[in-house]
Amino acid sequence: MQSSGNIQQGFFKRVSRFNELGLLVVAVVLFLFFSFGSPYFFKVKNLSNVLGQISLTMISAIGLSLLLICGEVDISIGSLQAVVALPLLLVMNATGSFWLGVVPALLTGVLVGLINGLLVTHLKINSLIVTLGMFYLLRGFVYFATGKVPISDRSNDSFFFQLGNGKLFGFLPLMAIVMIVIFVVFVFILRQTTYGRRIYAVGGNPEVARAVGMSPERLKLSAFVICSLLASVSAILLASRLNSANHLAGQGFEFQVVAAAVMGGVSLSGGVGTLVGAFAGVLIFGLIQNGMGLMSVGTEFQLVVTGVIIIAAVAVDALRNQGR
Amino acid sequence: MSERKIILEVRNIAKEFPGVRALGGVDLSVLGGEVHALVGENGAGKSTLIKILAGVYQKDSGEILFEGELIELHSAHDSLRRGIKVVFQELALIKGLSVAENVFLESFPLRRNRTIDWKTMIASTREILDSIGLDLDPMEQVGRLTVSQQQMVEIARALSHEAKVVIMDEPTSALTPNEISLLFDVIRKLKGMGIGILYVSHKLEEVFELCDRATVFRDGLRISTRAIAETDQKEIVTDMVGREITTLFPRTHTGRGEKVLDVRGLSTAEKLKGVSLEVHSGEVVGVFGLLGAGRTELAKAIFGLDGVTSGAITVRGARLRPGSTTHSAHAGLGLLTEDRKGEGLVLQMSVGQNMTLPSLREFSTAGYIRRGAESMRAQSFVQQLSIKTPSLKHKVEYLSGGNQQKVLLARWLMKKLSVIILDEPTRGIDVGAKVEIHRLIDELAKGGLAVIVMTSEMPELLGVSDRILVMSNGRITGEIGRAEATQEKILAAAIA
Amino acid sequence: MAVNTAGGGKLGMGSRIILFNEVILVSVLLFICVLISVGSPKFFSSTNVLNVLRDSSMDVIAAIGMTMLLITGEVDLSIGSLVAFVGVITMDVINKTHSVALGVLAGLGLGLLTGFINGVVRTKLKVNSLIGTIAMMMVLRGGVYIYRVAAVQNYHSLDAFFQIGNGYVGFLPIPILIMAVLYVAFLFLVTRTVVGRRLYASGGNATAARISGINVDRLKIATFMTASLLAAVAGVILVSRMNSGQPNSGQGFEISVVAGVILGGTGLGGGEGTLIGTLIGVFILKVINNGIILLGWNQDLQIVIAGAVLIVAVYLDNKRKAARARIITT
Repeated sequence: MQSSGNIQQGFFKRVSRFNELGLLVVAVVLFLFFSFGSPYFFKVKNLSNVLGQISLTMISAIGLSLLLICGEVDISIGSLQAVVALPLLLVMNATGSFWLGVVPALLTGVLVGLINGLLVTHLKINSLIVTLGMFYLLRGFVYFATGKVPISDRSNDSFFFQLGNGKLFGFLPLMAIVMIVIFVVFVFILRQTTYGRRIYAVGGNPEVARAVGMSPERLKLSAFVICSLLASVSAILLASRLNSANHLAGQGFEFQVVAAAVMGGVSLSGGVGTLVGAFAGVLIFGLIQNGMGLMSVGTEFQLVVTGVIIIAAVAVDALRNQGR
Repeated sequence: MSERKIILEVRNIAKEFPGVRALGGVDLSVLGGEVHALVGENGAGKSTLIKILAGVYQKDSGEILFEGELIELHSAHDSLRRGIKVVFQELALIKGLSVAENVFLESFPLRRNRTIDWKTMIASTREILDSIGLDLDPMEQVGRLTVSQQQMVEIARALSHEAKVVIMDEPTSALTPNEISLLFDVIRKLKGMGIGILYVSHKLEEVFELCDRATVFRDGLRISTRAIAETDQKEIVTDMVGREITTLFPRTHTGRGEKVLDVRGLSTAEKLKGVSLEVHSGEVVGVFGLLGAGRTELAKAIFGLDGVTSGAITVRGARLRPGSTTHSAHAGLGLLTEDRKGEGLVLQMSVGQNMTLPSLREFSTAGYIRRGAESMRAQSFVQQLSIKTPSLKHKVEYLSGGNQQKVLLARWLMKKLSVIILDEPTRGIDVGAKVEIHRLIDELAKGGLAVIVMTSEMPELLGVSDRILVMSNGRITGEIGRAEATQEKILAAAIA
Repeated sequence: MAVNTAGGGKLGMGSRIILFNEVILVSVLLFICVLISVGSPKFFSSTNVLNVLRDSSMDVIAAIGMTMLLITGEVDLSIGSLVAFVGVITMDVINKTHSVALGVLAGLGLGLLTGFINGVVRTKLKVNSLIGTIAMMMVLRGGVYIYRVAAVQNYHSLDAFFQIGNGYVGFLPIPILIMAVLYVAFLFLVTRTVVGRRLYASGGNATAARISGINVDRLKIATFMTASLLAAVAGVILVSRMNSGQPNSGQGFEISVVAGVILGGTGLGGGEGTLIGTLIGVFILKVINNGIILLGWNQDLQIVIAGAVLIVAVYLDNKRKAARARIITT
């Protein structure tokens, strides 16, 4: 009689190993599918748009994955997209300088991350609830602060415009470059630094981690701040593409990012997942959205599909955990 | 063999928990290079002692000496730093990280620029694994290893800290015979390195195969320390159980009726392997087994709380649908779980409400609960069982353990049951309440119920049972009638 | 050794603690009412009071179902999107069939279906209900836009339809009547019947409930369906009041309802909570919203407050649980 686990456990172990590779295969299949399904897909312009879209999502996904791995979640990052754009545009319009606007924008993100983190680690409120409350609170705040009227960019700062819309060599979006840099940095952090490994430890088994001298509270707090900080970077890029601070920015964004990360193997229960996997998830999501858009499927349908995918991803994740 | 030195010594260690004296002043010493067994029944105090040594519990009094020096262990960190590594059954590993990272969990080797020095970490891990003869990939994710391999990682972790004492708590309960041999080889290697090993187990054949000395604990006290070469299993068993049974168990029920419960070939995915038994009405069947034998799994499987992979359960001739608790409840089965608070009581509800939970239909018309009738019934049981509570409406979580157990018993007494399974019915309950509960068990049998009592307390087992079934490793390894039952026979079957 | 404190008495389980809680809530409510009336004397006028009550009716009706769900340890965040969808479908069916009854049935039917799916996703797919119903919220919101992008206008102006949300029985607006009837009926169900007792058991200790013969999965599915059905009733009242089915309605509805229920003392852990507390909690939030309007403040603050209240309410709930745990020392 086998001692270590049962057949079910073995199956899911094999499935997880298959995961990252399998996802990339799925992404390739989708790529081919859309290439044949729509004449507009395999065009440089479209592909570079896809790359740009993916970059936006991926930057936030990196931060969110870090947070998920250490065992917490943040579903307020969508509302944060709108919030962060406010100080950015306001300062930019007042001073004409993008760089002056970036500072308060990022600080806002850090502040929100700190609040979320403190509420969770010190007041011990469930992170899903805290960030759910923030999700509404921040969105309401943006409606309130802007009167539901977008704030357009009047600074004409060219760098600001280039950030979201510029392309190197005619096809490589600047956003993608930002994404790649951040990606490389964080892959390095997660793999090669004590901090990164501790994030995994705390998410995998906080009690054991505490027993060997780690501080789950401090690590989680830092993860919340990083998550919001990266989400702020996304927000700045988004504001550049929209050329304004829009009160509707980021609606539904948080769920997309979570779904993509979970699909990419970052478990909701913590301790597991890689940025490469998250990237695969984001890639798949991005391809689906782009493909659907090209095949004239409306955003409403995309919302439905996203919802269904979330359920599927979480269900598979839950089942995967049962097998562990 | 050269003179071995004492590495770890505890003197007069005592520890009390509310209502229970876990350790009453015990001594123990572990020599470098020896494998010292710590044996005893459930509740003898073994795990309390090792938790103190692991820094998880704090001793109330006594001294701990490490290499002759008096030390205090305030935390798990302290313990490990000192060189004491405890390998518990629930392994303290981070499943998402690799073997090498778990081995060096407290402090990863770093390069000059503060990044992780993977090369050194992997090489060192390989070295450690080689030294104990293991072939594991240092970069393999721990979550993907078998339990046996994970255990090895824990041992490797001890070595990375240059542990001088390794304490293993029931290490073989989840291992196959091959894996057990492997573990023994590794332990022998540790021995060769001069490390002292404290081996906590109730499996005497293992103890006799592997260990140099054995200490027996019973009821929180050290009974004996013997050299394995100079003793035999029988002597150890006598040490483990040697006590007189003084408590009287009221028995007024006589004669058994027809067969009520029939279980054939019950197996579950994880523990049970083809268990068969039958219980008649008016009969009390006691089920004994040591830790990990599968008693609770059996109780839950019969009731349908856990899934079964094969087997048939029949109540009064009617086949039960496996895994369906509603079906079991309707068929007249009752279950008193081992974990009162976690699985038996609804803590937010009152005494009365907990009692009447399975019987609500009786006090309701078209769904409306007749509170008067409900209260009257509940009150009658409060009196009958002498349950100490200010009122029926008192929240059940405020009651003492013994009274909570009585509430649960009342719950089942209130129903018309055919079979009742009681899992550790008197655990953590004071003597006075115990006697009352035993009286109730007798009453249940007298009333014609088929009663199964799972217990790890020998006196209770011998006192209440008409027939005793012994379990070990998910199987029934012995059936002994009341008249022929002795503690030695039972224990012998339990460690088979 | 357990310590006997509080609890006991003639009124109900752990009575003193719960009653204490409700007294605090009522005081808070009264305090806020007084504050608002100082800023705006119109507050206590009979028109305003009736308006507040009528506006609260939808929240209270949905809160009944939400309370029952929370008692079993689950939650449903899809009710906002559901309300929108129900409104659109009801209006559309009435337009196409000339029958108010059919339209209402269609809307309620959608509610039952949604609840059923939520229940199955939770019990069979084992997806956490918070996440599962958030996903449902997205599916329904997307779905309603697919069904109809623009508002569905009322083509027939059938009187029965108008009466639902705007009619009166004597001096009492019909929505308040519906709310009162449903509230009393469910109050009875939850406190006095076998089903109610089983809800508390399933949420308090699912294993103990199972051992007692309760089919917890089936009960949860039924509770999800009830919660969605009640939300659908709220949706029908809403569409009648707006006189058209608006796909973008109901935004933030779920969070106000949940915040109100939790504020009223129903914890997230399951096994506890009362409809009385819920009523007061929901009223507190509605009164605050009313105050915001009367005092001329920006209405978007309503959502900000709901979000903040949610966080605070859960925090208080945690503290309540910790305080209770400290009272028993076993």
